[in-house]
Amino acid sequence: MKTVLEFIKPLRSVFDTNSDGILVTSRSGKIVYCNPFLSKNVKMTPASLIGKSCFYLFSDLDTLEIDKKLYKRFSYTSRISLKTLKSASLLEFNVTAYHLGSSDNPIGILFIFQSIGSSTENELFSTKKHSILKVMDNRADTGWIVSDVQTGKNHFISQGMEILTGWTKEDFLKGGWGFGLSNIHEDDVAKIMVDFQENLEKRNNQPFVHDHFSWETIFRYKKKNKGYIRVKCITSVLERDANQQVKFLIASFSLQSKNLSEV
Amino acid sequence: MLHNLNNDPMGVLFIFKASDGLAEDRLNHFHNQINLLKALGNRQDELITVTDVQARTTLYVSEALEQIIGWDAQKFVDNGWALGISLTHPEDVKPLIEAFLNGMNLWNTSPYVYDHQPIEYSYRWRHRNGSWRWILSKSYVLERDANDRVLYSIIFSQDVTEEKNKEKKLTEEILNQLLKQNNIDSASTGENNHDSTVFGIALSPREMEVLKYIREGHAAKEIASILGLRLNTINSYKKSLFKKLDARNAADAIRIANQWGLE
Repeated sequence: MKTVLEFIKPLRSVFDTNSDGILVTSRSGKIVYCNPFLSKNVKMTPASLIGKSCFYLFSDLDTLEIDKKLYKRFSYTSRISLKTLKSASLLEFNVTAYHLGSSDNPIGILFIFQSIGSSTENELFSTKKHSILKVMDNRADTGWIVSDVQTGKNHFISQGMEILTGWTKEDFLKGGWGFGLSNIHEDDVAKIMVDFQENLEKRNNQPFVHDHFSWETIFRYKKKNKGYIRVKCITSVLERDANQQVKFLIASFSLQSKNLSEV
Repeated sequence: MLHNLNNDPMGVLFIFKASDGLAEDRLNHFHNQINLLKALGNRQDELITVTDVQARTTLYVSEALEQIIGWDAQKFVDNGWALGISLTHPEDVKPLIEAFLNGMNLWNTSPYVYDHQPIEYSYRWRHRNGSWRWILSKSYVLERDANDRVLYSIIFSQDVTEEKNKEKKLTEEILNQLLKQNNIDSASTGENNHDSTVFGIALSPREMEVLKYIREGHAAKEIASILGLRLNTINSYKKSLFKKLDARNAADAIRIANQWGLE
């Protein structure tokens, strides 16, 4: 079994650019990773946080207690105040926690911090404005995700994703890419990330040239109520920003085979 | 060109379109969703069609059409439903239209109640190379008009020929097993001197041979030449064959023989 640091290694490139705060700890609460967004907010370098206990950042949150709760509820959400060394003020965040690794034998905890008041619903991709998204939401045979590749936030999650994985829309919206990618099986994630980076780079280096091709990946994905499913994911560029860089992606998820027992 | 079951041309379909109301103008209605439609349309495994069900016109067809049945997507947009129906297997046209009308009736009599339920159709479409492809389509309500009647529909279609062939093979295997269990001879290969009997249809080896060449598209004269027999003799075998199969012509004989698994 991989260590928590080995587990998140392929995900680092995504975690580093995520516009939500991401903190990864061991199950006992020892910090092993803090992304730039969070370190900037707490005004502490990642290096100064690594190896320290979570209590160093949030005194009123008991990591061991969260670890216990995650066995039953699989996700944990709370409002939290972070103390900073550089200023006396407290930072308010909504924090969501998930276990990393298999549900039976997790190897660490992933914390996602979102600023208070930041909306998880994006009006850009609401089903009220997009009749096509409303239809996609109704499709039970496939799950659909619209996400911002530059911020790592998910903006649209269809009901099909809930049916397929058991995780709720809220889980995906609050957890963003940090949560979504950490559910990929540890033996598949490195290959998926290499594939993703290659496809993204190709589309950023040659804008529009490859946009009419979607790319397909197959991997094992962790379900909420334990176990993994094999899913086929087909991703397409949805929109670009003013500099013609890929901004939004749309991805479909469909079941490839029956449930696999946990590896 | 319209074709019969043997892919023989049997008529010409003319489609007359008014010069106004081009599909691309009507597609402007979806201008805020056009990126979404195109991103979905990049997928090669699923054909996406947007239709105006009131005007019976096609507004958008994704490029997967070419992969599935060899037709250019724009041809389908230009020629609309008439072209789609003309390529449908003659046996599937009626059930297809009935399923569509029943679905529309359900959607229109109880607006919004069943919008999340797709109308499902399974039918054969003629590929440009003359083969039949099994298609599974799921049609959803995309938008309603001011009177809450369905105006636009979006259809997701997949080529399920492989699955259908597997299903057919399995059914044949089960049928053969049942025939064996009941001591009924299955279709003979024609290599012996006994008649081939299935469900009371008894064909002599020579009639089976003639049927084989009819299937291959040979005319009576050619069959006579291949078998070294007189034309009158071949015509006599054909007459007897048609009588036993209760067929009106060669196409009918092939259809019935296929239906009963006479090979």
